[in-house]
Amino acid sequence: MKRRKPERKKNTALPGYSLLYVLFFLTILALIISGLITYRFFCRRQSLEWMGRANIERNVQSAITLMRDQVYTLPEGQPVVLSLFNDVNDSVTLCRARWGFFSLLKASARFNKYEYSLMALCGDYHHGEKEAALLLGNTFKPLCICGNTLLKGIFKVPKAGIKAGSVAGNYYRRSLLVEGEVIAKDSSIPIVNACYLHLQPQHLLNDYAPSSRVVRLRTCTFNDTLSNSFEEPLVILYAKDIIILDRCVLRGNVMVISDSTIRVESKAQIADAILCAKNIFIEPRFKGTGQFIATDTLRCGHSCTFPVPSILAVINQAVNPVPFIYFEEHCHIEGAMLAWTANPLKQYSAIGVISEHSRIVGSLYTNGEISLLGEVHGNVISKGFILRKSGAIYQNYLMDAMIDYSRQPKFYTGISYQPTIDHLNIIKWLQ
Amino acid sequence: MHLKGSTLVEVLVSFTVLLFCISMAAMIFVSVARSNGKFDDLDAWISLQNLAVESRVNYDLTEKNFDFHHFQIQRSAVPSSFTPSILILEFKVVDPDNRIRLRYKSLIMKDDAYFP
Repeated sequence: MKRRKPERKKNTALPGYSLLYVLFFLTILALIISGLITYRFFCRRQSLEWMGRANIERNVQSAITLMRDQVYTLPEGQPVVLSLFNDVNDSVTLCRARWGFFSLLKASARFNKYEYSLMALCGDYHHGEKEAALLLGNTFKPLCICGNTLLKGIFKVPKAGIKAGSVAGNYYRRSLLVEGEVIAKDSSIPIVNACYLHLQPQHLLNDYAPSSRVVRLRTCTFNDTLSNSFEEPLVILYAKDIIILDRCVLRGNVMVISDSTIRVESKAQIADAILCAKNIFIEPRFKGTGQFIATDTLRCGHSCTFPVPSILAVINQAVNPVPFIYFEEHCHIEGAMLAWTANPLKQYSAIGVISEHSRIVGSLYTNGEISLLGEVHGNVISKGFILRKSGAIYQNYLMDAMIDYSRQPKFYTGISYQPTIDHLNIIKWLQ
Repeated sequence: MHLKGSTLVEVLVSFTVLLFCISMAAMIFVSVARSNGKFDDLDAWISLQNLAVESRVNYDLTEKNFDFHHFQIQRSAVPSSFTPSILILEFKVVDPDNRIRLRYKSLIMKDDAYFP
């Protein structure tokens, strides 16, 4: 009988360093997983940040939309904090103020450390198909057109109507008197918005000086750079005597006020500023945007260009001197022109001249009689027209002029000459 | 130095359990984040937001709801308490499980919106 050999027990033990390998491997795994969780956490944080930012940007846009509705009342120039939807984090700060003829809308909101704000320059007039191209005051005389005058749009004129005429042998040469509609109606022209009449040097100074930085100019020539954001307080450059703006840069929230005269040289760079003085003389070939408000005389030299949004205005409340606006040849403005006088002028005297080859893209308002020799691509409200030719004066005559409403851009936004509760339209976003 | 095989098995089991716990925690974390209405993928969220903004700009409320891949965008306009001509435009991005992932509100002018 064979004796069986006892079975040798198998050795299942592993070397000790295997455990170290396993531990190392698992540690790496744990690190990767915790890394992924951390990554997810930061992604979520970033998502929340993005969403919060997008949310307040949308709320600020909504606030601007709300302020565009003039029915919604806000205290003028005072910031108001408002919850838009009565939700969490939907508070915005609103402010509606006047900037000369325009409205200035400001809205801002904050999310964590991120602040977002928008500012817009707005007007209360916008292009509409039913707007009149010409609204003529009742002078009991027909509107006589001669030469190559073009009238296109809706014309609201006195019952005497429109007829063809001739001046110094220059007969009306077109086949149609009016390309559009003529509405005969004896009515006076609308009274201008009262808040525009407040745009006088002393009034502006009294209204704005307490909340702004007033710089009293000691030298008459200003040739410096002044760029002021609309988020900053207003800067007023003031002088009792003449101010000459030569090779200067004036941009943004800046007002130049003189009790006497402001002369703007052609090299001056002006954007969005307000200039207000008794007399304003703009040198030929100047180019810039702004609101130029004179109480006596406003003269634009030839070939000046005023891109949108620009305003040229003469607002006269005194008996003397007689106000006058002179828009020389080849001048071009995209905006509004206004000539207003509190006291009626002498008979056969014009309140202004729009010279040949000059062009207004926008609107023209005057409560006096004006000499229109250039083009208006938009609408005109006037008491009447004066034409001086060959030593004679013709009342309610237009020669080689153009009033064409169809050429006013469809997106045009300007100022309404009457108080209105129409919603404001954005002319320009400000920085 | 040698360890017994059973010890190694214990170590492996305990680490597997630990790993499982970490994975579960991660899954719970992600699912909670999702249930809060946040997207996992930031790019998807941004593209949906852009689409939503685009649809807001048009203000065309003819087609109130429309599909975008697996999501549905629902739009509605209701009068606001501010003025009669201001509307509250609200739109929601709803996922296939009918959960609201995004909700936007903004004010628009009545004249700017198009109603059939």
